[in-house]
Amino acid sequence: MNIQFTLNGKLRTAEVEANTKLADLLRELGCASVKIGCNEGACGSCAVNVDGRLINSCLTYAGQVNGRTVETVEAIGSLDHPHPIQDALVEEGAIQCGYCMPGVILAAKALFDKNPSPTEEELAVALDGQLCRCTGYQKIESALRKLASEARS
Amino acid sequence: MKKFNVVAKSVRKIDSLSLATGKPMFVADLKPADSLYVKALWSPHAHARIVSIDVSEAEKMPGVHCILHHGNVPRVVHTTAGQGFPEPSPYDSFLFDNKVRFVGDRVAAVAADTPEQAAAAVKAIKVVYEELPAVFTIDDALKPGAPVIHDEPEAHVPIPVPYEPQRNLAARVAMDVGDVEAELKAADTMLDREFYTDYAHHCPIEPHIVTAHLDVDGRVIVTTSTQVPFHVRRIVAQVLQIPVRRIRVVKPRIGGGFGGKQEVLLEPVVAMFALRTGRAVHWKYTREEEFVSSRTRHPEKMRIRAGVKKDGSISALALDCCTNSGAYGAHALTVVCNSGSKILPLYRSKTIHFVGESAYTNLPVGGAYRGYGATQSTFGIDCMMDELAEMLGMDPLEFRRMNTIRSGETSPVFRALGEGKAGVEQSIGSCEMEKCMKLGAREIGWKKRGRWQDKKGRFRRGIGMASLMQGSSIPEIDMGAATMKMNDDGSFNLLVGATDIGTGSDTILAQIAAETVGCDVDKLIVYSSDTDTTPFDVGAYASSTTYLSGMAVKNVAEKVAKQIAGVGAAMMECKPKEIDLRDNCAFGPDGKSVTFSGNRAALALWVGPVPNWRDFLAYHAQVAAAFLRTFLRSGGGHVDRQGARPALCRSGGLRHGSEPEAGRGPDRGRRVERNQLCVDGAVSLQFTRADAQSILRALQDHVHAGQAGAEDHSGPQLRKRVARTAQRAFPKFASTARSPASPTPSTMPWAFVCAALRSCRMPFGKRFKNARADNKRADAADDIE
Repeated sequence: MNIQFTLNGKLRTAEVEANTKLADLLRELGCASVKIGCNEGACGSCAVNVDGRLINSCLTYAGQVNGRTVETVEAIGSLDHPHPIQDALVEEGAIQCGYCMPGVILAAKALFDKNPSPTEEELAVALDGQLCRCTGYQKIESALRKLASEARS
Repeated sequence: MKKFNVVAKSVRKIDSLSLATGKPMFVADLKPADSLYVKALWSPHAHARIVSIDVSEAEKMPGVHCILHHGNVPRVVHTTAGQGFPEPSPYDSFLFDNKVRFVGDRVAAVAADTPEQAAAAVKAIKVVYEELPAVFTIDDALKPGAPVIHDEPEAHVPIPVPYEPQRNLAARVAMDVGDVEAELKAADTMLDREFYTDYAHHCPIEPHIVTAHLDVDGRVIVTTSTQVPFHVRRIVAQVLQIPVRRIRVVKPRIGGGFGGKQEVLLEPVVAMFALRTGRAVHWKYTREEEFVSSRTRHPEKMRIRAGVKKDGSISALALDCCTNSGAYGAHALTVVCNSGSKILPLYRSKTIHFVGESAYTNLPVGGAYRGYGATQSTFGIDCMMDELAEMLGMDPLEFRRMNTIRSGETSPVFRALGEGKAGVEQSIGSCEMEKCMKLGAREIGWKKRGRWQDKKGRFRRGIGMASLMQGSSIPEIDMGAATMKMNDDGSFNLLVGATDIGTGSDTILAQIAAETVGCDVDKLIVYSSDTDTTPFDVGAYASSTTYLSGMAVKNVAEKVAKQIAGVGAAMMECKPKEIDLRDNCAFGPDGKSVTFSGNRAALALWVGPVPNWRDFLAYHAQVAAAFLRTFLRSGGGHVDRQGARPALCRSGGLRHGSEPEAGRGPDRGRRVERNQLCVDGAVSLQFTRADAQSILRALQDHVHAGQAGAEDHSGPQLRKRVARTAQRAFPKFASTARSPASPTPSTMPWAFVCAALRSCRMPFGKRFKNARADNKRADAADDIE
């Protein structure tokens, strides 16, 4: 089937099978930031924002995003102009192997876009679906906590 | 204490922003677009012989390019454990075998145009199995008459250690200090307990993943998510029976390893497919395959006996343990050895008994996993410590404090237990265990801790403590190396074999180099682990990179710093010793300074008459360091083997030869290192094309900037100077540079560069000899140590 959707601000069309997963399509379209860790919705490293809501792209069929807006990490910051979330994580030393990071960053962004100064509990809930094996989460949380408290002040 | 400018400071991890912006940096992002995909057929039986395998139907399926199984690949016995050669693990694995030994063992593999086609073809492979009786527990496996899991005649260990596959014994290690049995009898209190730890999986978020393709010369380029690129190259060569020089292993960014990727599992299969099909081939484990068919933490069963005196001192400590190695013996010996060698020295017992065994069973395979055996036995021993304290009516904290090893002390265990050989004498250089316990107790509110029996209610909260010891690097076996080169903008290329798998070692090594040459960390361009371009390193394991590879980086950076100081001294007309390198500048004794780069008069562009400028502009060095540092994790102190032991091997002059005595004798460690360096370490002392180009650029800059004065532009003085420099740089080609009666400035550099390029393909005679002499000197120095 033919689908049309907005990917990182650009209108894209794609010919997909009914069972093509969004994660595979996005990687085919050059979004290397979409990492596939478990391919069964457990790890969150393939998470992307669809219409501002975080979803696991390995559990989403490509057809489901027809007419919608998809955002990956490629769109939200660059080496020269990183997004404040990216900058905060780098500064805090929250990035080790980095494989889970695109998902973490998008999860944080989905939250911060709606609520620029979330509480610790809100942060914990937002990051609940993102597994990280290296950091033990402490530094990820403290980086985002700092960002939230900066927004408050 | 020395004041540091770069190390001991928090810097941004050098690759972190690229990772945060989702750049294509992992194996999955780097696979060629037209790759074939691999799917494997896994054994449905725990133990079975393959009677027949029929792939005729599968081969005809659409998109299928190649099917590999035991009938069409060389039968080469090897170990999948990525350890120093010769490995202390049994050679008991084959690329594909005519026998399967656990549910999830590899039977066949298919390469097809799409993963779906490969999966469909796997289903069409017809295998007839003859099921064999299977064993699943350590006790059953070691019973007389148990089914023999490795009955193949090839199974053996390449070093002389106990190995009895006919009774499912994958490894055994033992040591005794004093008469433990007598002390146990004489003890005021004796305790005898059994403990068991279970399977665990590493779960890196990025599963095992490999891509291989052939380059224009027919070499296999393997891009893989691994902790041990140089071991991958060696084992792929061994299994495929092709020379090491036909293989290049590239490690991009790695999505975590935790020991699981210290294993060479997928690479030989993918490389074999690439060779057979001539196509790019890609294989990524699914999460399920990752759990079943990669590696795990060995389950361990242990019996611990301890005797204590009334005063609280431990008089006897006996540990008999056995790991469940699963179907293959990867890391079997070394893991169980660490179960003893890392925890037993922590407690000061007069008598010690240790037997560690590893049993083959028909279960998934154990391997390297963070802590590497120490974790399992620490669990058992530290449970014992609590029980002993309770029996004595002592505070567990006080009991541990009393019995823990201290600064200046040693343990007989250090000497007795190495990795498949005797250990190395060590003493505790510094240990702050006591302070650590004090601080921890204060922070957690230890004093408030009551007995759990005295507490009320269904849910009771308690406070506990544990202490453990870990080691870093394997003394006299592990090695790392680094190459460093200064560029004309004052930046440095740092090429390291050390394998950053997300640990941040690239950043740490950049910090060490920057500190040593006196520049900012962002001046370092780090490239890690590519067997074609970086020098040998054992890889990322044994918590060793900072210490081991870091020492190699420090050594190489010191060499570079010395040359920079030499140039700085020539520019400022002082002695090299008077030069102070810091803040990207060389400072002279009178306060004058030259910057590394940034203007025409900068040090990196200096081509004046300096004795060593040739090396300075394009410098290669290779230094290896073996360095042991055992540290007490919770104590924050460390054990030193009488200090560092740097520079065991140096670049050049080492030839690969088989050394049959490599497994034995006091000299074994050194021989092994040499072998490794020879097998895996490229000696690269020649100029590369890029270097030659930078020389050319420097020369042209020199000409255009007219540094030597306007009248020199085409004058004889400049020509003379260029010729002299060329002569120094390439003594071999001095005639080329000199022969035209009066080379013009425009043709001169070209002759020069041609010579440089030619030199890339020439043996480096004199340098080679020099390196050999260096080596001899280093060896002599080592002998005196």
